[in-house]
Amino acid sequence: MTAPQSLAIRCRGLTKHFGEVAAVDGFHLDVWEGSVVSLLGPSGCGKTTALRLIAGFEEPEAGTVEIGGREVAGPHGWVPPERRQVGMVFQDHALFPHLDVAGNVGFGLPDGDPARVAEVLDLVGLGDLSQRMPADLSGGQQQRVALARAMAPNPRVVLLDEPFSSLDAALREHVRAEVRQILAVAGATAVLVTHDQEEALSFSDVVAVMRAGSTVQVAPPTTLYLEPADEWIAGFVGDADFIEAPVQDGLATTALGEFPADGPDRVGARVMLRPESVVLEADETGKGVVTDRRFFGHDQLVTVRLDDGSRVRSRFGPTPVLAEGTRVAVRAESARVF
Amino acid sequence: MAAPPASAHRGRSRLLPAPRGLGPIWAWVTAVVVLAPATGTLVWMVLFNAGQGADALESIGLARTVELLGNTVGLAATTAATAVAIGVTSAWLVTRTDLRGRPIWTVLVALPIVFPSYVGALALLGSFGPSGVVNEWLGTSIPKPIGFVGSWLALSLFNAPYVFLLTVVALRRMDRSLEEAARGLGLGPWAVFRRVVLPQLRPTLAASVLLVALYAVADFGAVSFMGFDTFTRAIYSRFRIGDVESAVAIAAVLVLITIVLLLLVRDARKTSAPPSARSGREPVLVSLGGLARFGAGAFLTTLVGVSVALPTAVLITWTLQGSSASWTGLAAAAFGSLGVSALAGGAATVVAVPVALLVVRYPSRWSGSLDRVQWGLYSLPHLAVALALLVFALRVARPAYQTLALLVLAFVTMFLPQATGAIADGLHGVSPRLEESARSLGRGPAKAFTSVTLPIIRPQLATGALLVFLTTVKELPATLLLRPTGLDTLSVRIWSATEEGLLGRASAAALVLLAVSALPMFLLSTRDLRRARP
Ligand SMILES: Nc1ncnc2c1ncn2[C@@H]1O[C@H](COP(=O)(O)OP(=O)(O)OP(=O)(O)O)[C@@H](O)[C@H]1O
Ligand SMILES: [Mg+2]
Repeated sequence: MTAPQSLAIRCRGLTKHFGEVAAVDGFHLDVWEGSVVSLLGPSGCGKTTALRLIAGFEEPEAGTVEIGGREVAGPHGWVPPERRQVGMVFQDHALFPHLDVAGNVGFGLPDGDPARVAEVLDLVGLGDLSQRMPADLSGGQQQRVALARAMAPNPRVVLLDEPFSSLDAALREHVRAEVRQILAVAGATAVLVTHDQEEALSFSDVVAVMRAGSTVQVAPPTTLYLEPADEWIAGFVGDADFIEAPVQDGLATTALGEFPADGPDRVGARVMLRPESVVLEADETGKGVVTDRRFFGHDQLVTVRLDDGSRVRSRFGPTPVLAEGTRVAVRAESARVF
Repeated sequence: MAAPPASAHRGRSRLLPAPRGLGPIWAWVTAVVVLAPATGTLVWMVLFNAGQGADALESIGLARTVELLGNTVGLAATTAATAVAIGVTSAWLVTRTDLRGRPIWTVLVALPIVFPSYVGALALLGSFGPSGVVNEWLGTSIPKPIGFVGSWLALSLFNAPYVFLLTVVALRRMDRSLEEAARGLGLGPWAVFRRVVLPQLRPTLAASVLLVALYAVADFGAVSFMGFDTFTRAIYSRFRIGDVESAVAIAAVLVLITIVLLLLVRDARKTSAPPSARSGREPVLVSLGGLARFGAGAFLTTLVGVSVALPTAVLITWTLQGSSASWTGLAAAAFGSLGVSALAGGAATVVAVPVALLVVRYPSRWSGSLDRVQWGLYSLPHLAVALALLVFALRVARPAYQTLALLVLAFVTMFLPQATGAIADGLHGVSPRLEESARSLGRGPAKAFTSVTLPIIRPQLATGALLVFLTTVKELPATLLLRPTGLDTLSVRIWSATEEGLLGRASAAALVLLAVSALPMFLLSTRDLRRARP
């Protein structure tokens, strides 16, 4: 907001094959300083490889990586990992088993700098565990030590590869919130790899969606959720139903209402509906019938078959109760037309 | 804020590139420098001297040639058959029957593994003949078991424990439910063994037969003590009279025979079945009837008596009787052994680190070949490898002749896989993510390796060094051929004293050797056994 922001990471056209497999293929990414970016994509789409290219553990066949405005991989040079000022947090934490917590955290500091070690351990709330060995820590504690170790030398950026997936579900959300808090307090720039869309949306300022080795959409979470670039992304980042509708004069007309649409007039445009935006009301003259109802407590998911045969879902609070077979009026508060 | 990328070019360091490359240059240089002299000379020996081997053998005479070949092959075949019969029978008794005291029998039957076969041969020689210990105890006049019988006895008795250990481990890992099902179908214990257990054991048996045969073909000490003419003895006697050319030529033939056996072993390994899962239940044991129980007890008692109690008693008796004991000479030999073996253990570990690194972290055709070369050198007769290095020194690196460095190089060349195997075990347990973390935290590739990986695999480094140390302590032929003048070791002392008929002096040296090596040797050899607890 004050000084013009600068790029911490800039990747252009990164490509990396393993044998025949193109793990990363024309990968682009910009990460602004101080922001937290998630790299989200299905298993095997190249997230880890992209991260390793940034960290310097793999060398790209084509494309460039810049860190802090300096080319670290590309036609003009190569900077090995130890001189990239990148902090790395791995899925299995990769704590050095032969060193205690202080030894781990101080590993990247000149002479293990005890003052800085204490400072970072306080930041992650583990000040009193500095003498423990990694094997004697819980999964969540190991996670925080790994983060403290990566952040201790004040790297330009912290890279986290599925750091929460080795934690059990109950712990995961808690640790995730803590890590987010720690990164925010430190004002750190971070890239988080995940294949969990909720994690990506809740954790980051910007989400970069990857598919088959390259980024297909980079956007803030809300934009990504409400305005996905294509149907695949729409389905990947959340529940979505699709109905077909004609578009005329920038408006798509559906049984659930009229929605703004880009592009030329056409007949079978695809309209994406998020269940949260679909509103139901019991109505004998409505255009849909409830066919299924799942109750989760804090909310419920109700499936409606429209008279034209298409199917949409609606998510809302625990009431009202709309039993199967109830005829309902259906309306959507927003939709995205492709 | 953008640092000029000028310095970045320098950073294109290829020391430890991303995995899947060929591996660091320094590792390859180390491996090649250490293994090339022996490998190169052996290849040269086989390519250019195997033909002359025939000539050399011809100069000995056709009858003699046939005799050498027959002796070597015959000894290998009979030894393998006997050792496998003993090993498998005792393994079945301690894993599948209700024989009393099975844990103790397991230890006792495995125990002779600590005797080098030439020490076993020495003990047999000391038992019989005119002043033999057994003859004096029993008042008998059994002749010394020299020649074929003595060699066969010594090699069979002291190789059987290796077969025993392999088989016990295989039997313990076998899925017992198959045997129980067979018993349920009405098969008796013998039929179950023959129709269910034996087929599953076949890979282990094949490997055992070939390994014992390999050992017998390569053996030098026992056949020399027993005066039985095999290739190794012929090579050494040629060498002794200064006829290195004939020695090399005969060794070339020996190497070829070994390579054939090695190829067979490799095929046997290929066909070995994957270990089947074990059911968690307690196995149903075969209950031995009265007669069988007595027979089994008698068999194991005799076996342990002949291969553990007798040699120990004989060595002690001779040592006590030995008027010719020279304590200063013995101490010098002990220090010589310990010193040389410690050097070999240390050097082998230093070389094994890069080799293991290449094999584990950089799998490729090249590192695969490196692995095969080191195992090949390990499996060839020590006498042949030592002779190759001797020829190398004489022809290529004259200043190395009769130096400690050449002797240590020989041990490293021959025993490297013992260290690389242990270190590879360690490396498999160290996630590459650890070194990558160290890299990101500012350490260069070499520093990341030494500050993270090496400290973590310290126990495996120690195990590797210890294994090489122990093997070196009891090594005989290479030490005989390559030791610098003035260096005496326990194995050389045992050898020369036995040659001179000074059994007391030889026995004292053998006891010291056992005192140094027996316990760690036994613990290391039975590691797999303890991992496969019943
Ligand atoms: N070291 C390697 N050797 C060979 N192929 C590899 C290697 N690393 C990755 N790949 C392949 O490259 C592709 C991308 O792998 P990558 O690990 O980057 O995916 P990912 O998005 O991180 O997947 P996941 O979510 O499962 O972790 C996959 O097809 C994978 O099999
Ligand atoms: Mg991954």
